[in-house]
Amino acid sequence: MYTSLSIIATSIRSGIKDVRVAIPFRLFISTTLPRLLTQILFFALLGQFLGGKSFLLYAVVGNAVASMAGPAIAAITQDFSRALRSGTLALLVATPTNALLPISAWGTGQLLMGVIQSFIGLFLLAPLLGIHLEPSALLVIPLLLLSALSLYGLGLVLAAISLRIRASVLASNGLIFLIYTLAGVNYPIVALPVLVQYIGYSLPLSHALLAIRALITGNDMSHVPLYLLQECGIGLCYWLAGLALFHWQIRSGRRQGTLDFQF
Amino acid sequence: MKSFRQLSLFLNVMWAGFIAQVKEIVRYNSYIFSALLFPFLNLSLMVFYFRYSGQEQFLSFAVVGSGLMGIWLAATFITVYILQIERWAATLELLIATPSSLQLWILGRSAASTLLSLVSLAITLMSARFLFGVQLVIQEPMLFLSMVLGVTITLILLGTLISSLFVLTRSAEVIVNALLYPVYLLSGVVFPIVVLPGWLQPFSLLMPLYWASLGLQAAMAGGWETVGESLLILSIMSAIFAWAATWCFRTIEQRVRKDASLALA
Repeated sequence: MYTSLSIIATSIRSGIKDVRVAIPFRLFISTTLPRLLTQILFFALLGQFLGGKSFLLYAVVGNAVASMAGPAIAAITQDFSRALRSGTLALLVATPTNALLPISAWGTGQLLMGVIQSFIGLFLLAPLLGIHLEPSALLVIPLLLLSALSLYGLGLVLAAISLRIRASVLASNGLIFLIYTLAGVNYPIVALPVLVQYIGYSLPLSHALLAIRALITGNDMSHVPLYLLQECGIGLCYWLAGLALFHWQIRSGRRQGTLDFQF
Repeated sequence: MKSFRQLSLFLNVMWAGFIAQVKEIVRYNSYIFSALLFPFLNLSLMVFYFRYSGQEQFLSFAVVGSGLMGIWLAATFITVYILQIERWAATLELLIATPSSLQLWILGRSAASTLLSLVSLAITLMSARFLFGVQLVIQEPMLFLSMVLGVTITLILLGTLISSLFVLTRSAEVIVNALLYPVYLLSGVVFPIVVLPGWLQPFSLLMPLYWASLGLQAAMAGGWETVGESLLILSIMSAIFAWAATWCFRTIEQRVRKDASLALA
């Protein structure tokens, strides 16, 4: 037990160090932050044009929270692909430890980055756009962490699939856009055709966004526990699927000597 | 006779760059995201959003805007990768060392990537019409095609200019990524620029995508005057981009040769 916790802690530390090296503070301020704020602003102004203040609020909250999908899905998927190409993953698999432990904690740095981005988007941009946040809005911070974890589950699924298929950039960017389109980021999921709504509700973030919106506006608070439960359930499903896929990929890769073989 | 031979040499270098870029595009699947997947997903988002808000009368705005966003993404991202790939393959130094013009080579590659990005406009228009049932009426098809040609030429030259600046940095991808939404925001591709704060609106006039959007919308409505005005401004911008790219390539080439600092960027 102690060894497992120690492996996870080392993986977390290493993930945070990775992000600090890849995105130094100066780069974050000069490129990541402006990109984040202008993206939220773009959809906020589009919302205002289409439906006034209520659409603007909807877009700001949705896009601020969804901005963590980039680090939680794309960065993780591409990290694993790079680790595979550079041979790090093969070395990790060759060690006597259970590779799923470091893999599950690999993206902690990226997840924290995602949560920080969403926090800045919500609590810096929303007041600047004249949106009054209720005190209950502070309760969204743990929800941001839950959303990041839930998205990371989907990231693990995609990362595991990307070990075999050389399409991590294409797949992860496509998936992020799918979340923006179907998970209720800019408009409620009910705006989608009925069959597509099922896909929307099965994506991570969809229920967390409902809970976050309820906390921010102070309306419909009674449904928050249910939304949280649903988000946890969906996130757990993706986590289990991701780890199972990784386990299968590693086992078949070891048995056939094809871990770094990609189509 | 001599100038004819020189022109033929210029075209040969451009053609070689064009073919190299086409092969690159076919090989890397991230181009598929830029040119095919992004426009389709972006269009879906816009159509659902506009329909949900009950603003269906602006759907053509959303469709053309989505197409332009796709063109911009594909053209800029692919163009950025031109120099990155040369750098990764350690061929940038060799290219600078040859007597052929690096600018013409890049111009050829930029032309190929921008022409590919037009696929995204076609995909957007066809998906809007046949998948989402958006009624798109192009009252003046020839005007619309003229605008598309004007936008293409402007973006090829802008791509060449952007590439020239990226000889000096390895952070091209990050910079272009950071510039993506400010350009969409200022260009008013999916909403009119009057939505922007007053002090920001003059900056929109400096954006090629703003004039592209204005011209394409006008061509759909049959507005000759606005199309003419947009084409004129895009032509002026193209001339400025061409001049600036030539100046930048000359200055930067001289500098990196003199300092022997190309690989140190």
